[in-house]
Amino acid sequence: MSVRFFHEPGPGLGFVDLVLAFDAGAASDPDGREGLTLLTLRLMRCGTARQTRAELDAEVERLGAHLEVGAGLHRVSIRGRVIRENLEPFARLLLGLLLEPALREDDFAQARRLLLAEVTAKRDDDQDLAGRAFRRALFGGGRLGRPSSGTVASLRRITRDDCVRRHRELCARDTLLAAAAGDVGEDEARRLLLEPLAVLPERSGAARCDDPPAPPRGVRAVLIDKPERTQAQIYLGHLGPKPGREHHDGLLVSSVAFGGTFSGRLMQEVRAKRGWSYGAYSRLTRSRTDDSWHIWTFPASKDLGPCLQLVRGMLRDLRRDGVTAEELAFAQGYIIGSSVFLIDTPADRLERRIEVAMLDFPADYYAGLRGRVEAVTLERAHAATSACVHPDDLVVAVVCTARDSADDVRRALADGAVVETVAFDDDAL
Amino acid sequence: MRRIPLGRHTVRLETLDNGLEVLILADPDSPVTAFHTWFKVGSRHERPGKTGLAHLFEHLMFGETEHLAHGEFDRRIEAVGASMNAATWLDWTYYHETFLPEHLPMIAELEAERMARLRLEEEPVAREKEVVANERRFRVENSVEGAASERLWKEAFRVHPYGHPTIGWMGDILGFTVEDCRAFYRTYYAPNNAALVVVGPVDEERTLALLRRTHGWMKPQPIPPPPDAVEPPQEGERAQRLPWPTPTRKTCLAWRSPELAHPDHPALVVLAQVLLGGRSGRLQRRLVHDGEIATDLQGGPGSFHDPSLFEIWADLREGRTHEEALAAIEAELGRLAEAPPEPAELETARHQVLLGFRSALETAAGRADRLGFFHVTVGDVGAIERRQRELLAVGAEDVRAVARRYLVPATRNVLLVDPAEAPS
Repeated sequence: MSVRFFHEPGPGLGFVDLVLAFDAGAASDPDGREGLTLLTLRLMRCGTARQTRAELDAEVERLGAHLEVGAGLHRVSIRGRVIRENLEPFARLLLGLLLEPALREDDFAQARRLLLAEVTAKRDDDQDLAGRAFRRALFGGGRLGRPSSGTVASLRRITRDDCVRRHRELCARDTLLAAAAGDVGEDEARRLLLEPLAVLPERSGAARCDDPPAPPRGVRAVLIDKPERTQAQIYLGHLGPKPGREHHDGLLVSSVAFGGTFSGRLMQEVRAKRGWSYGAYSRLTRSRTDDSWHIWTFPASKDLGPCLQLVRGMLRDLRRDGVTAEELAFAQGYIIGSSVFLIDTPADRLERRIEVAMLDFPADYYAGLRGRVEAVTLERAHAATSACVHPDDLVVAVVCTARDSADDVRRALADGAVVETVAFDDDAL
Repeated sequence: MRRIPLGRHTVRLETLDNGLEVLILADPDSPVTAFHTWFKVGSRHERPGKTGLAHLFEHLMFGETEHLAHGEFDRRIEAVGASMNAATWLDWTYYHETFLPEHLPMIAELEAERMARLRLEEEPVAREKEVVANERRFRVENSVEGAASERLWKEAFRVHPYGHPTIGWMGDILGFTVEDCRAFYRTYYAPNNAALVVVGPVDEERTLALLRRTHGWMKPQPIPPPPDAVEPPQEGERAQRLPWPTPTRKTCLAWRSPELAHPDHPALVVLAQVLLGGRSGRLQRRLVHDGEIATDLQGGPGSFHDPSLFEIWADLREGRTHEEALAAIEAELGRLAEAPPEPAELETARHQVLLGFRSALETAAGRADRLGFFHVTVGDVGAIERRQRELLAVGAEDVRAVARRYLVPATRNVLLVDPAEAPS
């Protein structure tokens, strides 16, 4: 079996994007060692036996390139962009990180200290805090609810040997996908990327993640307590169906109609009519497994309670009545028209192909999007919202100053909601 | 009519009889069209007590017009899947849409409608003031970066309007009247104070004919000059501290630096690359990767119409001190003032300039953005290509010279953020 390979041409752009993507992500980090995959990639990015981290960094930038590693839940990647003139040395450098990384002990210690510092620094970002707390509660602390960067405690448990093992798991032909987009022909891209990868073993030991269990019933809220907040960050929602599953298309279209755009129902009620928040959106997360369907909004602290009540009432309406014919037609036009942005550039087209391959989307997920969206009738849209919108089985995460806002949240959610409070610098978040 | 090269393309610049400037870049290979409307008004044009008006007005432009009910503008544009938004900054305000090419006539008509026939009434203005107040809570009051930046610029510019935030002070936002908004609209949203940018698979002549029909009938207005406030030279360092509910310290520095069109600006950009670029910049290594004092480091010179600031922001690691960060920064600045950068550092800067330039022109929206920005900020689209040449021509001694000229203690502004109250 050879490494999967994708190519998207973009002659004349003057630069090339190269991607090495791995069919494994943070969701397959061992329990208690969350952050392992990202830390392994960071360590791989610290150079080869012939090149120190500092030398590598200087060489990447001297070539007119940038290089990054990223870990999602189900896939990770090393990717870079380089000016056309220096494609060949950059491709060699990129492959060297995969095939012969040094994985030095001192680089490991340094990479871990930086990641630990970044985890701490992220606590400045209220939206990120709310999003993380929401996912953790939604997935019951399970693998899909973990931050890919891990926690302070989990990162401290990881050793260099863990990373060496993880690197070995990642480096297999059936796990890897190599791709190029931009100012490079297919033959040249194949020669640069695929030939050197033939030395990899075929099988990998990378684990995959199953669909999450249905969360407990009822309303469960997490207040992330942070001092001096004049504004709350709210994430609110539950599970939604993955691509290819029943009701995915109906919920996708309904979600866009409800809160996917500036002129959607949610934004009109929260922002345009009441001025409560700068934004209010709903989104169905596309992933390999069932993932979240959620709402994000951020009202002033004084409007937190009424805003929660309003949104929950709107969810009840959506479940009971679905979207209107006008909203459905609007959402269909929006999704079909805006789908051009999914494939606007060679890099965009490449990313879509990688998503489909790595996240197990139906092969025609993007190519057939238009037809499927057009096929969503009012009845199908309503069936999707009836089956998939659960205003009484919600996870709610709110960043606020608990002393000022906890009672407002309890009153707004009422009827038996379980409300838990955690400090914004709690490592479990 | 002028024709100006831009990468693989040529830009056509026309001025309509009413003073409206039109820039068209025809690219038959683009799958989408970008339409930008740039107005030469930003927070630089505001006066004390009326700060944030340009930004509030940007919000109001999505409201009711003579022929469109409230919300209809957005609805029509989103119904065809177009992406749209707007932004206000120190020198300009712009509105942008990207869409399938067949929708260009509709977009042009909608933009013309709100440019000339906006309705400004009490209730929607009051609601939008609340939305902007919430945006301020989001970007400033609950954001350490926003709060620190606002304080740093306020202290650095005591006379010039760059010292007040584009989003405005909260009291000013809540105090605006409908008449303030109407006067602003009449004054600044005139064709002779605007530029349209169209990039996509368009026919130049047909596009021009379309824009003459949709926008050519508008009447020009006398445009008042911006406030002629000139910031006096800074004599001596200005320092302040900001306690904040944050887990780590932030060390924020800013020096007076020249305007975008100034001949020293390219050397300052290269200087920023040498110090702060990527992971190999001198300060990146010393503060983040080797010294492990900071988690993140950012900065560079402002790109504005008037002189602004060269900033360095360091997000420190837990337990590391401002003194350590300041000592490291001062040591590297001192080294650069003594000896010019190495040839390899300049080669890195040149290659990063090329990568940045080519990446910025990747999409129709990116090209429209560059065209509008340079046209409005320095008054010359030709400056895009010229600037790339200037950046590539910066020499080692140029970098040392601007380091000695600008990054000096006498014009330094310091803001130190310290973790405040422990969580309850």
